[in-house]
Amino acid sequence: MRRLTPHLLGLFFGVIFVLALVGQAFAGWQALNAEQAADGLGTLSLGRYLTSSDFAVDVAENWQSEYLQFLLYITATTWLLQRGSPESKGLGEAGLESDEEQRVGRFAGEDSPRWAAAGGWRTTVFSWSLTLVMGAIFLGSWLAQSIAGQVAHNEDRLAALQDPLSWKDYVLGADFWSRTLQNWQSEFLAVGSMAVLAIYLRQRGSPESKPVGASHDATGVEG
Amino acid sequence: MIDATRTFAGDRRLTCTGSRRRPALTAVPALALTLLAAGCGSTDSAAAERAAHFYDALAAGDGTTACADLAPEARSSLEQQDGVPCAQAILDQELAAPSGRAVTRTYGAMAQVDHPGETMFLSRFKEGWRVTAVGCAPAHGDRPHECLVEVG
Repeated sequence: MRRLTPHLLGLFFGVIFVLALVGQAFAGWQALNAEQAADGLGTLSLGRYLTSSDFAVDVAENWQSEYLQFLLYITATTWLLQRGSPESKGLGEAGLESDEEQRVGRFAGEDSPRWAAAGGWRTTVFSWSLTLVMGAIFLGSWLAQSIAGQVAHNEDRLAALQDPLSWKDYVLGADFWSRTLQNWQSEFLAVGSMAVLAIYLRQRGSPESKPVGASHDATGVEG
Repeated sequence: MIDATRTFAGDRRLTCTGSRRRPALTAVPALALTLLAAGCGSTDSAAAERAAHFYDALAAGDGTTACADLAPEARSSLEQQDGVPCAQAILDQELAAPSGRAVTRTYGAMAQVDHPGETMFLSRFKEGWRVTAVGCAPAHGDRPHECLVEVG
């Protein structure tokens, strides 16, 4: 257990992710089959459901919005500040900061990652690597949502005796944007309220909160 | 998506468009694999074959075989509507024999087989593809097809 202690945060979220995904799979399978049976259509085995567009679009639409949330948070907090919020850098620190502050190039230390010290394109790529990877996963998931969503939506249309839509018509249509925006609005609300509520509220011991006794005006202080 | 284009002269072409050509999916390989299965996995042309089987049975005046190709709900709906056994009722519909090239589009557990002037809808059951609506007139935009035989 002691060996696991330094990794418990990642492990905890990994385990509850898998449990939630398994739960979603079973609940989604039952819900879809109930709808199919009510409409007099064929039902799916669990294996078919897991490889179906219905399951894929439900997973992808949530993934893309979560990765967008963190992508925006990472980039927005680089330039935008919020007085009193532990999620914000100190006032006057907006921007990419100096090489010295970021310990890159000739300011890199012995323990710095190799690409932080390398200079040139390697340091540039490494300086943006978190944003690049989160952005790629966001775009990949969003594209995946559009492809699986088109198939799932067309299944519904064929069940209603309507003609199917092309991918282009689907991504310009209401179903795609309804799925997308209903996820985005909730992510934006959660992250925005976190940034603002953390000005006035505290969680003792959490690095996402200021120390309990920190003033409401203290900015960029984590507890 | 599978786009199976089939002519009754036996010229069958299966094309898979979409997910395989989109490199951004490599960012989420697990999901990409699922999508590949979801969007491109059902390469069966069984829906088109079921449709051809149904139309062949009708052309031969074999109502029993045609009814076996219908989804259970479509069968019972037809019997309720006409008040005679399905094998008779299906022949009474005097469905026009389709002509020209058939285009089959499959999306998950649903399929549409389109002929000029005639459209059929199918659903995949445990026993295979079954016809959920047939004798459907052309429709435009979001309007549903009006069909002589349909589920419900």
